[in-house]
Amino acid sequence: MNTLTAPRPLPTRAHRRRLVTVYATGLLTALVVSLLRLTGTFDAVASGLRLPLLIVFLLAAAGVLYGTVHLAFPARLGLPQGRAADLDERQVARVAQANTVAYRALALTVLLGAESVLRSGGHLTALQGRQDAVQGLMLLVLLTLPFLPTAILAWTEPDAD
Amino acid sequence: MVAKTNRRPTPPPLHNRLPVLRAERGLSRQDLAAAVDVNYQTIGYLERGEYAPSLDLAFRLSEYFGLPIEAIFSRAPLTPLSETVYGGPT
Repeated sequence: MNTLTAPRPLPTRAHRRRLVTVYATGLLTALVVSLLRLTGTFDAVASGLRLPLLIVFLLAAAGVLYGTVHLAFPARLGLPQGRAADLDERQVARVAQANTVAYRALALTVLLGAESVLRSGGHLTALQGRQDAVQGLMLLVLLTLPFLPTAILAWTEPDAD
Repeated sequence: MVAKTNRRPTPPPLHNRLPVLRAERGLSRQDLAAAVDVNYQTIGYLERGEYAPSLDLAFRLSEYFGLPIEAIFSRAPLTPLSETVYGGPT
């Protein structure tokens, strides 16, 4: 008797990749704007450019939220979700592969972040007036890490039929 | 110093008779998936050779169809079963 839950149909890979592209573009754009603020470049640009930059940031945030809402529930995308006991052997292997890739990406991100902090040396005090940018970067990390494995699965899973 | 080795070569494709066996018995992918306790999408990936089953799953399929594993899966392209059993058209 099959005890596996009936999954939703898997959307086409093109559809899933569009979703991941919107999510990743939003993340990268928000990251760039946050880094501009962190490094002081945002404050240095002409005041006329700040509003367009803020609009770009808001659009990026909307893209991130759109992706997050979908990627937070893999089963709704027809992707494996749940405990290993509820998945079959292929699903367990695919989830493990996605987790492995996401873990490597996390390790690389932490290493690069630590290196950039070490390189900045005594300039960390300059960040004190830019706590919003630091918080924005932390938020981006929080919006990336939990959903990265699902984004990898959504991107790589072949079409079902 | 350990010499850098080349990446492991991609294994050759695993051919199978699952679509034929399933069609012969009038089974849907969902039926076969339920019988061998996997997700129905996994049956599709197996049939298209996009996933190589574990030995355990291969045995479950073998037991379900009442055929030896090598009659279902093969490294070489599979000929029609009738040709294998009866020696082909005469």
